[in-house]
Amino acid sequence: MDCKDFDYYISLYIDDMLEEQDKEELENHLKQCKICRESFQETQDVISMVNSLEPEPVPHGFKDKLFSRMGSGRTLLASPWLRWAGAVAGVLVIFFSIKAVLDTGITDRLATTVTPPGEIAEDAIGEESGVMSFESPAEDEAAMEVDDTGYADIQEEVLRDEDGVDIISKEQPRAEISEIQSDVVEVYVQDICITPETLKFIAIDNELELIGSDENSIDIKVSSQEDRSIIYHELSKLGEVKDIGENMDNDQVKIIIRAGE
Amino acid sequence: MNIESQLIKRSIDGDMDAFEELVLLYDKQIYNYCFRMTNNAEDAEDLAQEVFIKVYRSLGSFKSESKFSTWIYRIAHNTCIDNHRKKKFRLLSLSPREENDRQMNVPDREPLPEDQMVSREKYDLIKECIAELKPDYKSIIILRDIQNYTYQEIADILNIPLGTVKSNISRARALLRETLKSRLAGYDERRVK
Repeated sequence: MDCKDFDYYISLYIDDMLEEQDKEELENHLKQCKICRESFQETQDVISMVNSLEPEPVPHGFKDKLFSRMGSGRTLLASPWLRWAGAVAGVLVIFFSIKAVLDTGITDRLATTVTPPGEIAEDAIGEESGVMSFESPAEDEAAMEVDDTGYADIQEEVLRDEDGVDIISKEQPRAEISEIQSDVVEVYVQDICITPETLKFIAIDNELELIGSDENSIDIKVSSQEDRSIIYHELSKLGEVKDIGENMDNDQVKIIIRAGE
Repeated sequence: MNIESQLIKRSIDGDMDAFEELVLLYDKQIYNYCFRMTNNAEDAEDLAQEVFIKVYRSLGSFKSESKFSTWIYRIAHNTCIDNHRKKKFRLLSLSPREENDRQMNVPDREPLPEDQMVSREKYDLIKECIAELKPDYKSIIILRDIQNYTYQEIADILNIPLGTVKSNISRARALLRETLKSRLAGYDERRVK
């Protein structure tokens, strides 16, 4: 092991999260290596500085503003019949929207993939009532640079995996990157925050061309295998991905958001 | 049944007084989480309120075998990440000039005695360094080093494997340490001059 590996252990050592053998190894190394001893001390200093940050006071009137924003939500939850009426209205709106799409026969493809109205309606109600165990993005082994844009580039991640220089990828090999095969994909999400809008942002982030969207799906143009891989990678961060289309040659992919279990 | 569980149950039944008490139990933590994630009081207030609205709407689906604190932090984390995405998209449409103006917008401060200034500036530096981390590292530093959650609790909140928590904590701290070190070096040079 070199100093870089030991640097990774320092933080875990401070939190007493190291295995006994690694702990001994690090302690021996620290006795000999001045640079790592300094890093150890500096890491401890940073932790105590962060820990001493004073909490910010909650703004005055926070609760009042919250409850005034919640005005309608309050009535909705308190009155069961209103909830029921809302759910029925939602079902009807979705039913007629889908019926309209099917009647106009916009695309044959859509007609073959759309779920029966009843099923979609159930999803919609589930979403409204908030199935929230919240699937957040899975692993993100991103670079160690300060990234003010936030999200690491997919290609960079793949390259790092292939290089295998990353400490983490040595420890926990990332699952092989897969890709979208067909033209229709379902993503089962548990987070009600994830909407077609979220997918649009992801598409824009990854410079994928957006073709269209509706209340629970978006259509994206795919021009390469790489695009298919990016889509798969991004969607798998949101939830379980199911490739359900039959056409393997289409240059468009429809991504349908479904409520996860 | 503990007080928190009772408050949850009563809130599900539509008791707004109970929900208000629940808000009071968590408002400081959730507001502070959103504040550190956004480094902006206005955004933090807006996001924290969004979190509580989502909590209220989704209480019915909260499973009592899970920890409420984990659940609410998870909602807060997802809300902040979603906001970050939207914001990043909006920033793309800003001109570079406007973006620079935003970054250069340093608030005016009252002059301070020398000692106080040193500690306050260092304090501000660490806040700036945290604010510059990417969201995944930022959240892990907030949860571990500010709010003192265990590795397992963080894994549950962020829904990532324990191994990823370990590596992200190590990387985030190392990055914070190095960024702070270089900033402090620049700061000390300025002080000498």
